[in-house]
Amino acid sequence: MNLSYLSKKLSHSIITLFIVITINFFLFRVIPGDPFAMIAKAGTLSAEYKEELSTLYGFNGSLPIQYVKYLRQLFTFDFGLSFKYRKPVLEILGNRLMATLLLAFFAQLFAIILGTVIGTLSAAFRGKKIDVAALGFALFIYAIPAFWLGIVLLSFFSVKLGILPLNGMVVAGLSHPTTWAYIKDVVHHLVLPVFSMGLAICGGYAIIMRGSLLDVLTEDYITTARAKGLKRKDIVIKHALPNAMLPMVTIIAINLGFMVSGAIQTETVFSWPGIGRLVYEALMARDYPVLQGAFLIISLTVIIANFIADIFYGYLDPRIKYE
Amino acid sequence: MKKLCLFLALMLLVALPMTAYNSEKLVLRIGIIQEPDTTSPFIATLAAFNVIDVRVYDNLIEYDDNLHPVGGLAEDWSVSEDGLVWTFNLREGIKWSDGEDFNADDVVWTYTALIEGEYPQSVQLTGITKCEKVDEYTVKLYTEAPKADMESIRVDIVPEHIYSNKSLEDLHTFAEDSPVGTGPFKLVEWKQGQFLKFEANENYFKGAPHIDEIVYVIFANADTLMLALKNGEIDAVTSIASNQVEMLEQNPNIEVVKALGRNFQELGFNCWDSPESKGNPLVLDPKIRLACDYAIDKEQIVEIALTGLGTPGTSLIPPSVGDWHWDPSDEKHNYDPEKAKQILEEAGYIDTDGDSIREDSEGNKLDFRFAVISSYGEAYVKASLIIQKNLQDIGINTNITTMDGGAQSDLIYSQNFDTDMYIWGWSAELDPSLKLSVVLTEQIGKRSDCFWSNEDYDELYKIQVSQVDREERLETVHEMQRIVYEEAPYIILYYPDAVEAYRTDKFEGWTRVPEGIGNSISQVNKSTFLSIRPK
Repeated sequence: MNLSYLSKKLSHSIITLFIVITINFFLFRVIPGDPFAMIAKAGTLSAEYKEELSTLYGFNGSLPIQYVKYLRQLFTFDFGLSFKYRKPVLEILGNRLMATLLLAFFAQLFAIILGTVIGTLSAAFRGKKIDVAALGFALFIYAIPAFWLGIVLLSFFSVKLGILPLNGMVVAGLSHPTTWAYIKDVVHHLVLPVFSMGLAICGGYAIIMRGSLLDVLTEDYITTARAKGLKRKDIVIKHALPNAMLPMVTIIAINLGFMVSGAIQTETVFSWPGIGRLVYEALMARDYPVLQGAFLIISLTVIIANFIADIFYGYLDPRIKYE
Repeated sequence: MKKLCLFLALMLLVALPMTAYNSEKLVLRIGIIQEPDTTSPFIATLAAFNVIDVRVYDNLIEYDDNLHPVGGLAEDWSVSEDGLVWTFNLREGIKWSDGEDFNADDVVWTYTALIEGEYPQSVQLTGITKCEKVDEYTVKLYTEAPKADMESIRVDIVPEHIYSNKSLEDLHTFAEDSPVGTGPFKLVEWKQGQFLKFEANENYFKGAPHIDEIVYVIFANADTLMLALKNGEIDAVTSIASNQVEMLEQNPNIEVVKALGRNFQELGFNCWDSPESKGNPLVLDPKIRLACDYAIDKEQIVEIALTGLGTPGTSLIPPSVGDWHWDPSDEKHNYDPEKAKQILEEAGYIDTDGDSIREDSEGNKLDFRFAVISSYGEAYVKASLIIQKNLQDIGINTNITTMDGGAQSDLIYSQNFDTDMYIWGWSAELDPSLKLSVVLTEQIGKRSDCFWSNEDYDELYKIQVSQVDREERLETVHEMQRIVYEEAPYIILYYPDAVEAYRTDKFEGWTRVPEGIGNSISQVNKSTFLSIRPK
């Protein structure tokens, strides 16, 4: 791997991050809705109280001064105080982020595996019944809204059969005697949301996999392999698939970047304590610091995911090395 | 491939067995959608904070099940002849949840901090100048003028030994993870977005609770909340969507409680008489607003927007608050579009050009902008459409713009009140002062969202704040409501019912506060939580 390639990609990522940080700052000072007015409706807010809160949140001073302060705080990982909770934003984001990562990671994994299998089967048996069924299924799943799928699964598995839980990440209030018991509880609660979100995503993967593999299967070297008498299974899995994976890696990288923000529908249906729900609530409450922090983290995830994808390309596709 | 199948099978094996809750403990599980914002009474502004403070803290004076003041942390109290000095005798032998003794130092610290600083609960202590320790179990409160609502103060008393080293500024951010309180329960765990867990305080001074734990389970949507109640995963919910009521009532194990709510929702007008206002100046004419009150079919709004779960509105103080509510009786503005048209005609608003919209003598049309919050649920939007139709029938045109609460707040407070009408709501306390204050001249830009100003009203407010004689105060408070009813800066649309539901198969001892007509779960005192026991 070329060092100059690596450092060039890294510097691009850092510049992107800086631009995102700046836009992030200004964006939230443009939204209508003064957070103090939200509190005023609930009780009392004298001018002195507003002054004190303004100082607390760093609203004093002109916009450029606030911006410099914001940058300085970022370097010490000080994301400020949440308006709603009056606690450090990082603390509030922390737990919720882990929950979403857990959900999104396994959902993506499930979706990638399922999507690849369906897409491969479809392409390998193109035109046959399997293809029609698989493609039909993929398109159907692709079109369904994630929350609807979630509600349907809930009605069947939770309500009708009663074997999976209705809500949450763990049984509420339960004190788990061992870590293993805690893990089991979380996995138990993870099944439906992962299945629901994974299904909702896999449609796209299946269709792209199919298209990409079909493309590769028309290449000359595949015809050569068939002429050599290799088994169909070996041709598809050992020769065609690795090359067909490239577009998939692109899509996976893009989706991985958005997986933090994309879980909100699933989180709402399953009451999963993730960052998507937190962001929505923060938006309603005009909790700028939390929104800023969350958006920064989401942007960071996208940038990192793309960076990793770029590195991956370097390995997967030898043609890219000397850029 | 084989490895993959094996892995998946293993995951399935792990995933499927249901984890049972530890069944040795008696746990009451309540489902909620809104969670509190913090554990500190000096920071909390959300109504959901009562999940914590009613469990964990006590006040000097409490309400009994008929809303009469009884002793809480104070055993008894008295006031001096001139009404300016109150003496409270505190109960002895009460312990904080960490074992320390409760005494006068705690009360003095709490009250002094609230008086000297500015926190959400400070407004209840308006007019109190000093809190002084007399001895270990006696405190004195000094006021500038007789304070009529002294017995209605619900300020959470916090432990001096925890808070004493905190400055007034610290209080804006200091919040204990597990707050030390005198109350019947202790908050032991709060996983944000998931649940709050409380454990019973065996040494509670009014008697130990009959259950071991309370878990408030946080749901992200109302549908799974209902499903959980139906299949017994939770024992109670504090609010139900109107379309769920019928379904729940049919379940033999579920009791639906329809209590008189302590909220009201109003059609507010831009009454800001100032060159800075961006409102339509025609709305400043009380005759137009009065006509609107006659034109709006409030019964229909309750039927359609609340599916019948409410009462058509009249005066500013809701009937559930007791005799503070003024009943207009024969002065009532019934639904009478003809009368409304008559009022407008006599005031000089006539439709001269035949477009069904009235104009004044200079040709200005009665064409108003109507801001409607759509993020609080359907009731506001449905009500606004009925209002629009009602007003159209009497020759007033309205243009509805939907938005969320923050945007409407911004419109009124930060954009020079750039609208003419809006729908909003308040929840009412058991003492009328705070709600009466929301239309004061001095609250313009603060608590007031209609920016109305009436000198007579302001005068009466100052009088009632010090009227310790209940009969006299009732008269003043009623007169104030009459003025608001006639001038109509707010048209009170309805008082929504507070609808709760609980299961009847595992626990018994659900009470209602006030008796017979009130809430079973979101109560103003700790009644249900002290009497609830397993069946």
